[in-house]
Amino acid sequence: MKAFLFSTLFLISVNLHATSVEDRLLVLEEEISILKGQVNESKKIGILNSKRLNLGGYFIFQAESINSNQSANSFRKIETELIISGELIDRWTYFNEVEIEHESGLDKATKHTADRFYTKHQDIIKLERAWINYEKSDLVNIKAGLMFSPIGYMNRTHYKPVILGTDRALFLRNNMISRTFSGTSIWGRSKRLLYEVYGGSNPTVDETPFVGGARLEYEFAYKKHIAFSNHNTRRADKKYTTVNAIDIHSEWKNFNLTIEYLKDNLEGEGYYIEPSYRQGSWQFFYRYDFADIDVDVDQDDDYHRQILGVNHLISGNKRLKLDYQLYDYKIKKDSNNKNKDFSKITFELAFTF
Amino acid sequence: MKIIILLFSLINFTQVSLASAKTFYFVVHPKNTEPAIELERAKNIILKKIKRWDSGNKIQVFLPDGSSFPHILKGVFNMDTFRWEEYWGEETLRTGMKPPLRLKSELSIIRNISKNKKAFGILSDTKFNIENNKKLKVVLKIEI
Repeated sequence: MKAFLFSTLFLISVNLHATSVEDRLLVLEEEISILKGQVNESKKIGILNSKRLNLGGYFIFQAESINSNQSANSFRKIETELIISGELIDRWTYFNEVEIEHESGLDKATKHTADRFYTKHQDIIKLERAWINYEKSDLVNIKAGLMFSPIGYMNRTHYKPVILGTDRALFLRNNMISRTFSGTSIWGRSKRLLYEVYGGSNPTVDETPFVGGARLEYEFAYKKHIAFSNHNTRRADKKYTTVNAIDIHSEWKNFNLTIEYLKDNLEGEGYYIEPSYRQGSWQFFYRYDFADIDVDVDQDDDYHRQILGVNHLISGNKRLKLDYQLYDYKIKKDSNNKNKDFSKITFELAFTF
Repeated sequence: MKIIILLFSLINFTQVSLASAKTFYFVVHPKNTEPAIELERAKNIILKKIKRWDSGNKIQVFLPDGSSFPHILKGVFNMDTFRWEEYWGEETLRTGMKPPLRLKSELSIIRNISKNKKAFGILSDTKFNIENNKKLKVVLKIEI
């Protein structure tokens, strides 16, 4: 009997001991997993995952082959956009973007057809954006500094690692709008409605003329919106303009569609239509792009461009791009009686870091 | 013929198993006065379109990493990881805003939320008895 009681007590104590060890092991395993988690969470440092100070940006490399009156191939552009941003104190954030760029020029033989798109060889370091933002609530934010004009879609979101094409829309390549302004903006959202009202001066034109306007967007869902913008500025040719714009973005399953249209009071007009389709890590797109900027160096000239391209996504913000662009002018000959139409193939590598 | 039918049902069974629904809990600190949250509001909080609680406190979002994460993206946002990265790439480059922190351990999410009155997170693991856990408050429960 004694032996039975003794052995029972012994078994109970062993079991209790075992349970306690198992519990401890479980706690230890969880603690290790937390520590592992913390190690994994803190080892990456970059623009998307640093904690207090964002130091990062993106890099692009572009190579181009132009088929014109005389062909030209070039490693056209190497560009680094360095972003320094963060939270100063609660509700106050800052953002700085510095552009460091090397751009190759074209040889004289090719320049006469495509010269409106290419400057000479140049190395640029410039401050692209620098602003400070006070967030009163989701409805009211006040931003001051140098920033992109909130007109249309592409001017606000033309970051190479997340856009499809290797080039912006034609109306952005010219002076239809002031791409950036230095001044103040009040912006926010109420449920699905987003607004921005802004005013300041055009940093690229002398005599600091006024830039101002507003944008109103209704967001149906992520990447599904319709927006209206109004933008008032003075162009480089010193004409005052009022530009009205509409932009629409929609998606259905793997299909995407972006449409943007701008018209100013001086008969300038621009638009593009860009359908795309994504299959896994491959994204295919087509863009029909038109601009009548009405400040053409030759004369009142319309031109359009068709782009057929493919993106290979290494991730959502790291991509390889290849596109074919065909430029078509209304007036076919330039002042030297050379054909102005041309085509080009561009390869681009763009990624955030 | 029987073998083909058997194989076909096995494939179907595998597909059903892979796509089986999982329960996710949207949780906050127990002292958070926020009542039950609708899915639309939860989505906007995770995408940082809503950045503050009604009290004015800035929301800190914690998401589970690992196999739960693509499941949440698909079930809640109808996104894959490419679209998620594209969204945050655009937001970060445009506004400097960063994606929510993803934690590998769900216990780590529980610890962060139980210590932080501003926190909001998603949990899937039932071994922590989330619905009766006094360190958390469940504001939304979904099966996806």
